[in-house]
Amino acid sequence: MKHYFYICLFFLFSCTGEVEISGSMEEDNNGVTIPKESCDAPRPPVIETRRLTPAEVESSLQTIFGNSINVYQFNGLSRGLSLSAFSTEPAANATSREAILSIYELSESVALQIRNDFQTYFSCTDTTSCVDELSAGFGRLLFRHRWSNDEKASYLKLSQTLENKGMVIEDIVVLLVEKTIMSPQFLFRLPSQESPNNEDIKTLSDVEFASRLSLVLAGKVPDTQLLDAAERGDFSDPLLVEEQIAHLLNEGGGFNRFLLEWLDLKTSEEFEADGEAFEFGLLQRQTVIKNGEAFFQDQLENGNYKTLLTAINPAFGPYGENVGILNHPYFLASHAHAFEGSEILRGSRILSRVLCYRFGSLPLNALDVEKGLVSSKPDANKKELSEARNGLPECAFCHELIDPVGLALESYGAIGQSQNRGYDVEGAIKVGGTMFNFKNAEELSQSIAESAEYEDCFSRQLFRFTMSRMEKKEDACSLAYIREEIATHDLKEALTHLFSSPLFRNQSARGEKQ
Amino acid sequence: MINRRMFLRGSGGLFLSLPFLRSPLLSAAEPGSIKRFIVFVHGQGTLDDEWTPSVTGRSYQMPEILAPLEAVREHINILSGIDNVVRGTIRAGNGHNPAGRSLLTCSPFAGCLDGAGILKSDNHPDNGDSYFPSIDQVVAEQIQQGTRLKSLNLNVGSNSVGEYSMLWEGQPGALTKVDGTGDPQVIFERLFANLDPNQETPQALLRKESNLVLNAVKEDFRKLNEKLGAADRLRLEQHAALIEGLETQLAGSLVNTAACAEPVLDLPIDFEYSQDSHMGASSKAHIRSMVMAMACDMTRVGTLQYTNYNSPRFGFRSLPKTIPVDPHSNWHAMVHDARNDASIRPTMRKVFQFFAEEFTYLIQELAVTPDIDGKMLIDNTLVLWISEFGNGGRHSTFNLPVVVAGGPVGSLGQHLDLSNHNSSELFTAIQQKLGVQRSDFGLKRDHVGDPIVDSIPNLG
Repeated sequence: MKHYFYICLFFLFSCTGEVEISGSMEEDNNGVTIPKESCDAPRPPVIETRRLTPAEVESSLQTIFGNSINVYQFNGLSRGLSLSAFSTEPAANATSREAILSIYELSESVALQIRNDFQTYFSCTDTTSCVDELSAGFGRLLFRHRWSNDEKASYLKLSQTLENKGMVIEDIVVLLVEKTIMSPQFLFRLPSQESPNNEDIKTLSDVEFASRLSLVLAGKVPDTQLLDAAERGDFSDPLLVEEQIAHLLNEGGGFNRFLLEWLDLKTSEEFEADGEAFEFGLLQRQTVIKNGEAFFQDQLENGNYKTLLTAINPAFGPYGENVGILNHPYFLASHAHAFEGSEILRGSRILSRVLCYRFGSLPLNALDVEKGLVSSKPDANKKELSEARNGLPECAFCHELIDPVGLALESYGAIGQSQNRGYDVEGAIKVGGTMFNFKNAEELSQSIAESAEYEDCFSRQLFRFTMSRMEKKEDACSLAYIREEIATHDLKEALTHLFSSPLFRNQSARGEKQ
Repeated sequence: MINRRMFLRGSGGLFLSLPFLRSPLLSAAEPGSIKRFIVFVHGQGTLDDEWTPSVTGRSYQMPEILAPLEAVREHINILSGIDNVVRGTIRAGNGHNPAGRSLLTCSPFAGCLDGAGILKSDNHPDNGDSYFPSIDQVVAEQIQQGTRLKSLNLNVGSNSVGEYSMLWEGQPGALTKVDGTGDPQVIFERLFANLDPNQETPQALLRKESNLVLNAVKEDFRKLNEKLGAADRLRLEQHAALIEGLETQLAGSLVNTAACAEPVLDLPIDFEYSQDSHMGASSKAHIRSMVMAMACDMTRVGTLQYTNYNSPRFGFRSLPKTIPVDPHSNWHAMVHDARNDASIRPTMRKVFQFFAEEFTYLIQELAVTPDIDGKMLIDNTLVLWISEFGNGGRHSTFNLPVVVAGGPVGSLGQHLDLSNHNSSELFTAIQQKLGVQRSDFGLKRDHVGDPIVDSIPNLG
């Protein structure tokens, strides 16, 4: 049993990439303090250029070209960055020869599949009509805008060059498709093209707004319906905007995406990848995920950011500790080992993701120290081991916070099943300015839900997800706005306000020299 | 609908070596002075007290942990006593990433150096890019000579190496990571699917004009860059810069040699490259592809990296103890515990012998495959086997396990004690053996231009 400590220690500290130097814990706030009072007119955040994530590329291509095209996963771009916030960070945009080649191969693969069944995708017969058809169809969706005359002209020029080389129209068209997928207009999320090079604030066009909304909430470029609505000018009507946001949050899975990224929940495929070690069958996986999604849905419709942690989960009946997302099997199973829960994985995830505290480096001798502890106390339970661990100053630095939180969730096993550990899990930790006292998992969730630290952290995580980047000093008022929204509205209302607010529909120029 | 990759996956993976009509294309490089370089690297080091032969010279007895190497003894030199001293300059990170990052680069994290490239005394980051490029890429810059690939980088296991990003290319302080490829089938598709230039596949037809497409894409990037601010532009420029090299990679230059053919991958019917139980099959397939890529002169430099350093189970091996086994929950934990628990050493020995077997197989394949100049590949290729720890359990970067092989090394069949030498000196010597005219490698002593190293006068 005890050996699972090593796995979690190793992964927690050496693999996350989130740790900082020194054996300390510190606030994960990127140096930004949220002002106590809301600002009168928060400055809209800067939109940074970023490459679409592999999941966004794959999902977009699948949507645009349909399920009969096989869009395989491609290699070379960072996948393991859980929060969208990191998608503008250098690691997510790091490029390598392998990544570029892999993108080329993906574009070629799509092109070849279209070539095999050309008439299903195109009806044109000459270069001019084919460029028109591409620009009005797949090309418009890939680029998220109607093509300019310049764009069309460049494609026409390329197609004529290929024609002069004797290529047949089918080959020409699929090469144009290949180019479109490789182009920066598809592969990158760009700031508004009309953005001035000064400090001005710009309101996104409806089409740009639709594109931004779809990438954040649906994880892909906008589909025809959404783009059509934007081009029709539907988004000048606030009611239609709200309707669209509600649709993307709900049926589009936007709220689920946020929760998955925020709490680092595993997808079905990620559970499956653990298959050899994890006795967590397909049916159980599907049940846990389905039940989790139902809970998320219910919270989106009826809850607020606090009830996310405190609402009774209908699937588990009206009694017991099983309340809120942190006590839900989906969260519990996502942060567990093969055959038992992990107080370290669970505790650290709650501290880092829910309370925005992060850890310093794992001391180099940590595994040996842990091994020594386990060897010297072969019959110790997790609580006794935690007490021994916290008797060592170098461990206590982090574990005096991690362990009590994790131990409170020890009433749940590896897949979130109730279990009696035979020891009390009462705990008390001080994080920020708040003392958290709890006797069990339910009280832990409730104390977190009521804390200022959680309110602050939830606001930050929502900002990071929404803006696809970490917060900066100039975003302090935007964070205050989000905090105000979540504190005073139910989730659906707060999220709808956020996505239809000037913060999301406007952008500030970077104000940098060209 | 099915594409070629899907077809290959569905065909049961038993790929046959298909004959094809070779075109009389000439090599991109003139034969006569061909040098090649392959790095074979895995994580978690070794058991250094078992690894080092007891005597130096030619009459050494092969240690049990290296027993498979006996079959290629005349092609190799065992180098003991080499330290990675640069790791000690990194005052942050965990037990693995400083050792991994500095192993092939002799470089700390870029953030450990200031803007002038001087090592900072404190405020070292916990992680980050390397500051200096890795030895494979430094050598590749010099010896690629117009071949299709600057380097062929293969990963046994998953595509990702996590914190063990060892391979870096570019200018010091502004490097790009070199990612490897995990799936042997992807490599097969890339390198060998269109080996026959007379084969008019749809893919081959499209690729003939790929340069036109790529030029148009580059033009898109250029036009867009004009509209962006400096920070946004940088992201696009980094991406666009690598499109430059794509045309060469896609081109199917081929050398008319008898040895150049499709490799036999011989993969199990349910093959999944990232699955632990298929690690052995993946390794062999990658080795065959590597050797054939060299025989076809598609590249002069290759790396073979075993990426699962934490929890491989080596399920395809007949081990005395299976992994995981309580209390050694995974390979990483087992390596840690080996210092104190002699009972797990037989298992570990078997695992390290696996790497020795794979290295031996690579050497054997190189030894029987002709190069484009009529010599055998092994005559032209310097092969380096290295790992980041001497003693895996202590995560010690002293006395690294190093084996070199191949004609460029010099006099072979020896065990050399190179105590008091370090990996910077080793790589300086390797550069020189491969004709790269440089007298230093990686971090400089006092960081003011004085090389931290000289060279190792005698690798063989």
